[in-house]
Amino acid sequence: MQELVLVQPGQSIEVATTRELERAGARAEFEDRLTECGPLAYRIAQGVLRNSADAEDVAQEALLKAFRSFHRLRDPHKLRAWLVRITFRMALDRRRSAKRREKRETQWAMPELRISPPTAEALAASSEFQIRLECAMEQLPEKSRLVLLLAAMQGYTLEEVSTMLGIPVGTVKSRLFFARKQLAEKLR
Amino acid sequence: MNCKQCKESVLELLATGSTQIPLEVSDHQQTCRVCVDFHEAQARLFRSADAGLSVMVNQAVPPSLLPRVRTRLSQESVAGSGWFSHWSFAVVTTVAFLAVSVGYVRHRLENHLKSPEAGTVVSLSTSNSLPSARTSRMPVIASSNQKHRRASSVASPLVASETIPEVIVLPEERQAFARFVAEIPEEQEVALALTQPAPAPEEVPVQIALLQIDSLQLRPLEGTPRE
Repeated sequence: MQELVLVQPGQSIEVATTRELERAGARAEFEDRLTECGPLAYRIAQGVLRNSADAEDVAQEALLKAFRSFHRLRDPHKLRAWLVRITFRMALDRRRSAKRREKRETQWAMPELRISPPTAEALAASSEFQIRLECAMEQLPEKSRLVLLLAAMQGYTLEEVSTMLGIPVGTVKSRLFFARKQLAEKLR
Repeated sequence: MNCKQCKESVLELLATGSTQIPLEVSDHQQTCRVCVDFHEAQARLFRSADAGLSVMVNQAVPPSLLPRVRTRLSQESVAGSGWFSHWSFAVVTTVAFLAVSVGYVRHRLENHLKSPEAGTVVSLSTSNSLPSARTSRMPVIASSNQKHRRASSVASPLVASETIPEVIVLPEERQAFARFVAEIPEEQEVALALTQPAPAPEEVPVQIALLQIDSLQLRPLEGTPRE
């Protein structure tokens, strides 16, 4: 079966065909990477947003952005690192805008809540701990948050995390150490 | 090792994720029940935090994610080619418009230069209307085309005065006359007629006589009965 190729005016069939083939090749290559990069983007977004629908949207947008810049990101390590950064940034932006909106909508109705902090042991036993953890995570610096999320992700070693972040393994370990310490302090 | 140092060591140990307890810490904990409890509590806290983080980032990826991205990629490819065609169309249209515009302007310019009524030469006197002032005449070309006017104004005055009729205009009327000639370049006959030199007066003696009109009858006014 012959394939129809749209030829622009002033353009030869060979040039158009070559361009179409290049485009198709790039797309096929990107789709191959999608099976690995898609879940990675989604998990990072989910780690920040804690909402599957929002995380899916952000991951989708990040992947499309990656596809648009795919000519610069053919190197798999580059693509993964770029995707991690862009997804994290986009998720943070969405989280902030959602929080602003939520605050605006509920500020007038909600009185200021003053709950006495429960002990760490009690929190650990309850499902409320997850909420507390999310709050503590939000209070951490962005670098610490990202390294915590990536280190907690199954299937990625510290070496891979260092490649994703473009920093040495020693720096990853040190960031992880301080991030865990800070997180424990906030949870205590 | 005191309790404070022991607690600090425990926290660092847990933060690094190591499971090997240093000898000093284990020695101190054998004698201090408080530090043992603290260690256990903090270990639980770190385990809970790790478990919570793991739950956060290791959730199942929705099966709709990749198909949705693939669909968007297809749309993106189509949109990309559409963009290209829009751009090429815009470029071609702009180039065509510029070519037509340049051609039109050049055509008009050439026509204007070729046309005989491109300009009308008017000689203006620098003094009043006395004939002796003709020596100081200077031709001025009035035309609707500024460019042509500028080019013609540098032409030789002698050539202009020999080939084109001249008219003497009073200094206060020069501006108005120039405007008048410039505004009617199409009606060159009128302009030329106006710029023709006046015929020399004939040697006829002047006579003074009463004006008589035969068909006109003057009657006295008739008054009304009241008058």
